[in-house]
This record gives sequence, C-alpha cells and structure tokens, in this order.
Amino acid sequence: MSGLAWLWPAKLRNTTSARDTLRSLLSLTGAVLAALLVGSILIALAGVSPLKAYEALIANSIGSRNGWGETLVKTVPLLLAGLGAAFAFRARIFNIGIEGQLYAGALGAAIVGLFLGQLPLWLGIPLMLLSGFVAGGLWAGIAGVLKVKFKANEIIVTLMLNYIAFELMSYLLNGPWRDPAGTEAYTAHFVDGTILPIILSGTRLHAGIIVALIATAVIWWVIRRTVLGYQVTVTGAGEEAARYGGVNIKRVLLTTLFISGGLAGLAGACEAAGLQHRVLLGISPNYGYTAIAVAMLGRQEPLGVAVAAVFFAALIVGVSGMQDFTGVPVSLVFIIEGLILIFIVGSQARRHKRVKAQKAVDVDQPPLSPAEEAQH
Amino acid sequence: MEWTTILTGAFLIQVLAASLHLATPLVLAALGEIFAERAGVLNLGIEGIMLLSGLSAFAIATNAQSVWLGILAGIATGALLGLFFAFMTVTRRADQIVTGLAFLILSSGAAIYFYRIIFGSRSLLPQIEPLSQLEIPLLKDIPILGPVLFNQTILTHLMLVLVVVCVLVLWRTPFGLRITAVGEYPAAADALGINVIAVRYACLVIGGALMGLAGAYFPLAELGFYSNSMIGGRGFIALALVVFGRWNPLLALAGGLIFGAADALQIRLQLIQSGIPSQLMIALPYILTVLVILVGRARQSPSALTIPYVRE
Repeated sequence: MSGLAWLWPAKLRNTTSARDTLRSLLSLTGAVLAALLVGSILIALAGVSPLKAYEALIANSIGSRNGWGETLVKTVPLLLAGLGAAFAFRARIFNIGIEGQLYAGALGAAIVGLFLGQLPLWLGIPLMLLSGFVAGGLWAGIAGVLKVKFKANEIIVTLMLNYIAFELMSYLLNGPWRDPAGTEAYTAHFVDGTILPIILSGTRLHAGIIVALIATAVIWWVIRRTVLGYQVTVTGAGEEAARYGGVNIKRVLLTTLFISGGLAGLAGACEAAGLQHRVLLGISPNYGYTAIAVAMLGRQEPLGVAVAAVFFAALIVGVSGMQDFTGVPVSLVFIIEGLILIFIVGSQARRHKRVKAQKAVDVDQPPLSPAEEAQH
Repeated sequence: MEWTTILTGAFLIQVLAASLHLATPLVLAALGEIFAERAGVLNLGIEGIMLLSGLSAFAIATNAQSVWLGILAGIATGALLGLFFAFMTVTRRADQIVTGLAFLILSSGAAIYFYRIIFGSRSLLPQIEPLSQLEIPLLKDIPILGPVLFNQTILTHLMLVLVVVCVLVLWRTPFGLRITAVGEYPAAADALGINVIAVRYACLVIGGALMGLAGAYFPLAELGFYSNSMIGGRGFIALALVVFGRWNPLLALAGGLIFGAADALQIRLQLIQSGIPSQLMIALPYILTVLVILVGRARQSPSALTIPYVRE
C-alpha cells in the first residue's frame, strides 16, 4: 500500500505537465472544430449557407458590445453550473441533476428575495446567494445520502430529481408563491436589496459574473490547495485505492455532491436575482445539461471550465441570432454540444485504455497468476 | 372527494388495462438495456435512442401513411444508434457514461432540429391515426381478464411475447450463455474462443432495436403525434427497471407493471380533481423510480459492466 501513496501524487503531477496540457488543448480544439464542421453539414441540410450562418453566429455573439454583454450574461449560469458538474466529475460522481439543483437554488434565493422583507444590499445579496447555494447543495445531497446509505446509482437518482424539482417549482409558482398580480406562473419581484446590480451599462450584464469568477477562483483553490480537493481527485482516480489510502469515501462523496449542487444552486440564484428578478418556470433553458458539456470540454479544471463556459455562452447567443437571420433552429446548439462530447470522449479513450484495464484487474477480478502478472 | 365513487370495479379494470398499456414501452426499453448490460455495456444512450427512433418512426409513418412502416423505421433507427454506441464504446473504448450523456444531449437537439427540417414550422400539428386496439373476439369478453389483456394494441402482446423470448434466449441458448460470460468475465470468455467484441456489438444492436420499438410506441401507439417531451425520462425509468429487475426480463416486466399502474392512477386522479396537487401526481413515477432504485441495490450488476474489453 505504501506504493500507492507514492503513486498518486506522481500521477497528479503528470496530469498538469506542460506537454500533456498542450496535447489535450490540441485534441479539444480538434473536437470543437470537428463538431462545427458536422454542424455546417446540418446547417446546409436546413437549406442555409453554413458560411453565412457562422458569420451571423460570430457577429451576434462576440461582434458587438451588446453581443459580448449577452455572451457574458449566459456565461454566468454556465460557468457556475459547469463548475458544479466538473467538481463532481473529478470524483467520478456523475451528477446529472445540475438542472434540478439550479431550480432548487433559484427557489432558495426566492426565500430571501420574497419573504424576509426589505434588506440592505450588503446583507441581502450574500444571504440570497447563501440560501441559493444551500438549497442546491441539499437537493444534490439527497442523491448523496441515497448513494452513501443505499448505494443508489447517482446518475438515475439525480436525473429523477430534475423532474421532481421541476414539478416542485411548478407547484410553488402556480400555488403558494405565485405573484398575485401575475398573469403566468412566476413569483413576485424580488426585493431591491437582493437584486444583483447591472455592471455594464447598456447591457443586461449583472454582478453574477463576479460571483461566477470568485467561485472559479475558490474552486481552483479547493482543488489545488486543500486536503478535500486532493481527496476528491484521488477518489475519482479510483475509489478502492483511495479507501486504502485512508480517504473517508462517504464523507468525500457527500461533501462533493453538496458543493457540486451548491454551485448549481448559485447558478439558479444568479439567474433569478440578476437576470429575471423573480423565479419563473423557464428559468433555465437546459443550462444544467449544457453544464455537462462545459465540464467535459473544460477537462474538469476550473480555468478550462471558465473558457468552455464563455465558448458555449457565445455559441448559444450566436445561434439564437443565427435563428433570427437564417431560420436555422436554435437546437443546433445541443447538437454541437453533443458532438463535441462525442469527439472528446472518442479521441481520449485510447489513451486511457491501459489504466482502465489495469483497474479492472485490480479491483473487480480475481488476482492474476504469476505468469499473467509477468506480461503486464 | 369520495373514494368510494372511484374505487369501483369498472375503475380498477380501467386502471389495470392502462397499466399494461403504459408499461409496454418501459418494458421494451428495459429488455433492450438488459441485453446491453448483461454483455457488460451500460447503454445510457437509451433516452436519446428512444427519442430519435420515435421521431424517425413518426416521420416515416406520416410520409408513407403506414404505422407499420413507421414502427419498422423506429426499430431500424434504434438498431443503427445501437451500432454507433457499440462503435464508440466497444471499438473506440470510449467512457460509456460520458458517451451516453453525449447521446442524451445530441439526440435532444437533433430531434428538435430534424423535426423542424422535416415538418417545417406548421401551425397545424402533424398527426396520424395511432395503432388501434386489437379486440380479440370471445377472449375480450372474459370478465376482468378480457378487457385488461385482450383490448390492447398488438405491440403490448408483442412485448409480452418478447419478454418470454428474451428469457429463453438469455438462459436457454448458447448465445445467451455467451452474453453472460462476456458480461461477467470477458477475459475467460475470450480464452474460450468467444468473440467478446462481436457479442457486445450484437447485444447493443439488438438492444437498440428494442429501444427503437419502445420509442416508436409513443407517437404511433399512444399519442398519434410527435412531441419533444414524449419520452420525458422514461428511458431512465427503464434503466431503473433493469436494476430493480436484477437484469431479469420477468422481474423487469413486474416492475414495469408497477410503474404503469402508478402512471395510470396518476392520470386518472388528475382527471377527477382529487384535491391532490397535479404536480405531485406528475412527479409520482419519478419519485417511484428513486424508491425502486433503493430496492434494487442489493444485487450485483454484471461484473464487467462499464469496463471496455482490452485483450492482454
């Protein structure tokens, strides 16, 4: 076992070597380009010139001050939710419930935004964010407790919790929390002391982007500089080995899911308090699922996630503009996201295969005979 | 609300018949997943495969004016997507979970995109006469059993037959034993001369075809139209049924019937304004899925599940 203690830090160093980073950057860029190429075939299928469409995409997203503003507006939820997904993926916990945790976070923010009366900004905003974080974290925590206590598969549980969260939100917005003056299912306007202010005049860009950047720095620090971050990464590399190494797996799983859901909750809180100023049923156009692609493209590294979030935000803003100009359906975004994932996972696979096969032998199968051992 | 006015014999028969009807696509998809998982591949693409197959089935059915051609198209689309999933996870040895998630995101986008391309943005919803119930004379007049079992679409009967066929194939044929060997201990299976790669490909294609049939059920046997939310997590419910059913088609059928009953009850209680919030009713199958996962936890999954095979 002392061999393992020596092995893990070495492995961690390896993943951050310059050559490795460069190689993965190249393969990620390749995946993005390949996905955009396939995307252009689909655009042509819709009877539109791909060149014109991509031109409209760029012009609308990063071609103007307003475009940049909108791109950064969408970056806020994608970065926070993407960090949430990435943090869980690092521990190889597949939290697919980001979408539901985002709803929970918006509802948590609404408790402060609607029911605590007028608050000064210095108190209202931190309280609103905290409430959103805790609500998202607790919602993800359900899956964590079920995984730890009952070994329930977190993929299915977190996904089911998305549907349940939506119905819970729908119940509140149609019932007790409904704006009495409203014509549709949404809450009343949040009190002024909880509204995130606009930080770029003439656009909708609000202080949520600052929250997202601080969260990126904090998560980077947690991963790189704390025992928890180290244990998360080690657990992700192999649960069995981490256990031998003295990691309290159950505690790590619970904490990881709480933080992961909390970040998703922050995304919901910022959307509610920064953009909509209330909670409405359409608070998230599937940001929770895009977050999965953001986390994978960002290689589960906070800085990578930030770059990926801006990229996907620009893509969403650009394609919406493209739809207005050329009629290409906006769902093209999800196709490109899915394709990027396919190309990433398809190109990385061969590099990891030896590690995986080794793990299979170590953990799940009877020990090898000495003759077989020698072949390794 | 007076419960006595609801819990009549006629109501119970209605619920039972609807349970079987609603269980049909869940069980078909679960059968497909059982093939994949018993061979050692977790096909998380199930939800997306069902959605895209449903779209292709509906598109072909409306164009050819034939529900049956549509169903065939759904099966073919499912099989092709299963083949693609096999290429990714068996040949490329890509992470099965991430590939499945990619399928989920890709297909949700592709379904909306292609629907728009095929049907345009018409104000009139394209529709088709769904598969009608097969009323078997004499048999349908048997009390209770008649209306429940013999007043269904033929796909429900096909589902029941397929459950039995799958049990026989998995436990009574050399192919079934090969699947188990490949899913439990691929290295040993390989040493015995079983082609691990070919068996996994076969299972994913068969599984995909079954998921495709399940996907076609929604527009062609239940709704009569296509909707992007028609699958609504039912692929993942089928995934939960596989765990609950311990990789056994018969137990998956039993689980499917429980789900069908919950769904049927939920729909009916909404209609009669029981005072229970409708959102709780809609959430019921998803809550049930979480509970079902807790029940199914005890049993071990196939040993080689999610592990790509590399010959040493």
